[in-house]
Amino acid sequence: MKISWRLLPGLLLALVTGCQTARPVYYWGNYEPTIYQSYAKPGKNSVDEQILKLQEDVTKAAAAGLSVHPGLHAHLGYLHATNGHNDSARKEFEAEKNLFPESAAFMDRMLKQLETTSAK
Amino acid sequence: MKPIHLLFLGLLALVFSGCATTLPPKDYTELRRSNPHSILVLPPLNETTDVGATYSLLTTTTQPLAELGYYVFPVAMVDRYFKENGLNLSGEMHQVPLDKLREVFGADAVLYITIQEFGSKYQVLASNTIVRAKAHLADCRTGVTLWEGSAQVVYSGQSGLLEAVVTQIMNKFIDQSHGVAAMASVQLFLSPGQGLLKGPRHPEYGKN
Repeated sequence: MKISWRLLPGLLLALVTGCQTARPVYYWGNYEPTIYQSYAKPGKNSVDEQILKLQEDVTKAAAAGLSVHPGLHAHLGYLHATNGHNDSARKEFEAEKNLFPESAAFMDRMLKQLETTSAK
Repeated sequence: MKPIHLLFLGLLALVFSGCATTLPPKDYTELRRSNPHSILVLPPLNETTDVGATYSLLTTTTQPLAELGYYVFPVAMVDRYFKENGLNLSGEMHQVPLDKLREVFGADAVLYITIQEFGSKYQVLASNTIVRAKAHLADCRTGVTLWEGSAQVVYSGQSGLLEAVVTQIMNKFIDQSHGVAAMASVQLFLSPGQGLLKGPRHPEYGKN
């Protein structure tokens, strides 16, 4: 039953765009619900728990043969940086940039910010 | 299984009623000319009294916009960036000049959303949950408005037994207003002739 609800946004998407044929481009898992939770119930899920959920998405996307969606690696990087794990953060920001060059300016800014925090 | 089926049917009805508007198709001339590849979604302005509205709606925008073929900046990171730089309210974020947004994020276009109604009204045996919002997309280089849209989704829980079960299911996994917010996002961006055109990362980009 839980799964059925999770499928809903995708179903809705498919329906609305149905007239124009739509196949999901990306794998959507925990990203939006996890971020929503962090606003609606701050502290309910620890940063580590959030990281695990998003890493699960990366794995499942690969298994489903779908691409990782915009923002997933970036947000993972941000969570790692929150934990002070700058090396992991750097890898994720680079991954976002490689997958989505549109993010380059913002990711470069984040990478630069990491340098200044690790220099401290 | 039955309640789930009903839930789907109810939602289908909602989506289609949103779909079946008789509004004339929008003029996409400026959107085509600008041809944005990336969209920066700012945390929505909240004209309602529900303090959760801004982030409830914000966290439903990525999926429909990305599936349309646009790069969507990570919404929570963007919000965090503003806050670290002293802008705590969405109203303040909406005042940041476009050239500054372009410089910081490298965005092609910026999406400004305003939430006009949000939340549930409870009656004796039922409740109505409504999300109403409007939005406009601005070219980050020129400031030209590329698209404007609005959405209104009402979810009515009625007094029938099965409906009550459905409502219970919705409440169990996600708060109802957030579910309705997700539908409002879908309606806002994906309604044929009213939503956004398919973007550069969509397999059918350029065909509409």
